[in-house]
Amino acid sequence: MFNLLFSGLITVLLLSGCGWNGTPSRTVTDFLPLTSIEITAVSPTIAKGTSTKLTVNGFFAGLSTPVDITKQVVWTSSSTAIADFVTAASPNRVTGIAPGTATLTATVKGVSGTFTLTVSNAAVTSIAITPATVSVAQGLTAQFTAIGTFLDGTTQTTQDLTADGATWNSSAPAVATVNNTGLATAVAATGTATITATLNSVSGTAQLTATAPVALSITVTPANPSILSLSTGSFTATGLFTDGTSKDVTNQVTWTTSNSNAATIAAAGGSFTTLSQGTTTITASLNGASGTTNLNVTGGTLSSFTVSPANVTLVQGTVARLTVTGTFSNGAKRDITGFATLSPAPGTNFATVTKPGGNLALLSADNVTPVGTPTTITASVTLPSGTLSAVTSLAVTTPTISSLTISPSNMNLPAGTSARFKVIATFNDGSSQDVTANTAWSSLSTAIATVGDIGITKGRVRGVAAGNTTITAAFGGLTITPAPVVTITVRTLQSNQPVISPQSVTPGNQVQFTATANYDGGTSQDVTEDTAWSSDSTNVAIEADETNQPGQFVGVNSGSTIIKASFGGNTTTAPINIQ
Amino acid sequence: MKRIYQIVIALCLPLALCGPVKAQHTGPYVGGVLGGNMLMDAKATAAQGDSGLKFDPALQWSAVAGWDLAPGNPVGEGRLEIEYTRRSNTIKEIRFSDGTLNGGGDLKVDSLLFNVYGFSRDNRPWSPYATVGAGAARMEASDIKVAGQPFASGSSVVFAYQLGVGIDLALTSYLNLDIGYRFFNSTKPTFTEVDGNSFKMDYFSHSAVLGMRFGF
Repeated sequence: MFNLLFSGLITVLLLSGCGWNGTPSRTVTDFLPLTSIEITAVSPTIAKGTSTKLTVNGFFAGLSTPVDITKQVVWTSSSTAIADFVTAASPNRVTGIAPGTATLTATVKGVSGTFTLTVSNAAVTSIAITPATVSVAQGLTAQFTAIGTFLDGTTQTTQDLTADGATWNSSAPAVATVNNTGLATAVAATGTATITATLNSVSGTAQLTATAPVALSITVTPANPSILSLSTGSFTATGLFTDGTSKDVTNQVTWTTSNSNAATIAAAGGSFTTLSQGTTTITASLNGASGTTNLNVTGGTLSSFTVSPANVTLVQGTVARLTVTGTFSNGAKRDITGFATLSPAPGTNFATVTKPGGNLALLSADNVTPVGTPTTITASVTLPSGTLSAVTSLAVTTPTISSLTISPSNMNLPAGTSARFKVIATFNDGSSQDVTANTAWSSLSTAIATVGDIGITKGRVRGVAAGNTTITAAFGGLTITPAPVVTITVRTLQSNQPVISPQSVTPGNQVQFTATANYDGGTSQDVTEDTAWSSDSTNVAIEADETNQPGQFVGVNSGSTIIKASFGGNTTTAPINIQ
Repeated sequence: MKRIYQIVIALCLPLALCGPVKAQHTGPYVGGVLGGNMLMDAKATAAQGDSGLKFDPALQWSAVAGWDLAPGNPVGEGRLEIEYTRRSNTIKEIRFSDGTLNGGGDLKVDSLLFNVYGFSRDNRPWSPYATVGAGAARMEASDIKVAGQPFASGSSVVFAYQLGVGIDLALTSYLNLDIGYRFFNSTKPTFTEVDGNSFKMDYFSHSAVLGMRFGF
């Protein structure tokens, strides 16, 4: 009971807050007594055929300053033959009909005031328009002003005719239009229009040159992303232009970063590189318009890294995969092969390093190194604080191949899945080496199973249809004998496949998701490499390398998101928690 | 120092003179309550639009009569009470769309509520409590002015309720001191403006109170 009452009290207090803080809609003039009114005009005298606007200020009891109540007024003229309110759209505009004097009366809330207006017989002799020339971007406007010079006998006067008598016209409405108050709009991206103000056959002119639309605002996407350090990517800039259109201006804007220790960005193109943990504001600017986004660089700052395999020996003509693993200021470790620069010893031709993409780097043993004097491979990463590097050695030899072995010796796969063969070569010096990546692969029947023979796909068999086929694997003049047999069967997936499990990882570290497909009949298959992986929020977790590290995700920022795994027409999910 | 703080300090000073002893009175009692209240900024809604009312804090007083329930009573541990309270706050200023003007006049509230108190008792001489009450309130717009000009007057009877928490100190077997907080709210009263139009307004009150009860 006590707790219930207390909870109720807290709820009511939260709901009541500190009282009403909304925006009032009621005006003071709704109820304060109006004591008097005052009528003003630009000039008490206007020429016949022109007009002027009147303004009414009301004085209210209790208020020290007058309030504009022009819109509440009802107007009358003592002589509509001299001056009259003939503009329905603008009730407070009075027009001079004929020479003479008229008393104009404004009435509101039972209070009246008068204004004496003189209509002269002056004739307009010239009209000057300002500005005389103007350039206007498509979609923008320019306000012209027309000042008329009048002559009444020997008396010369001037009067603003912009909205009070002048008739406005454009010589090229397809280039620019003008309304009856002198407001011109450029409607084309190029061309010139003559703007004319006319009263009683007397005119004045000005030139308006329409120019290409300019950007009013720029939007940078992705908005406020979190991205791991030692990553690259690009931003996109979209401009909203004066003609109402929007278009991609990524390559037209100038890109800048507020914190080049956190991330750098190319001035043209929007390509960025994240370096150290921190935040920076990315700005895209174009002719005075700009847009920004905040980039949050996560995953720590690189402290050191290692290259593996360390001190490797390769047979001439073979390749091996190199991996660079970074250690970061927050204790995280992750693959940074794609970011590091890998260089053979300068001035030598013992080895070459290629980086096909992602985190894949391949070391090729090109020429034999002197015995006892291996060559070096240097990995380096340049940060604002300096360049970090690590070295591994490579000895290239030329032994004679003795034999080849393959594992597994045969393979059974469900159609639609894949698995890898591995080939080990043994040489006459007693050494052995994984030569899968140097082996020539082929399938006797690609209608039943295919086998990869390029780059990282070498030795990867994929089941296509039910049946048996043999795989040919050859290296160094030898062929695996007997040829391995691949048996492909068609199986029916159980529901809710593939099976993946929730994972947790700290920011900057990698975690491996494994996808398992369970089939009717009780068999199962690891389909991690055959699964399409994605993260619901790349600000929380991203896939490490879609091509070379399927199923591996890296924590970007604290939080949780959903990892999706799609295989065989099914999609299942599991959460990943970044702690 | 703001007036509301002065009120709270004044209400709490008598505590320095108290030497509490444990006692649990049962049966009838009468008492009086003195407090300071603060009205929240209120929205006044009329056909012409909305305006905002801001009030000065003020004192309030109450007279109560009730029954202390005996420990173990099947109804519960607490008391039942009838409370009459008088509040009167001056309107400080009124916000409009085109400016804020000085206010004037008072908003007077007489309320009659039936309150139920629930206690959390143990061997301590003081007991925390929570209360809820409901009843009626008569609200009077007394010569309300805007910028010195008459604005509204009249009265309105509305449904009202009250929530509160506090501490009950047993000074003797028949004398109790009550220190508490009250939140008072009502349905919207309607008042008539000088030109015959009417408006409805919010009423939210926060109060700090000090009361004394005499059991017999």
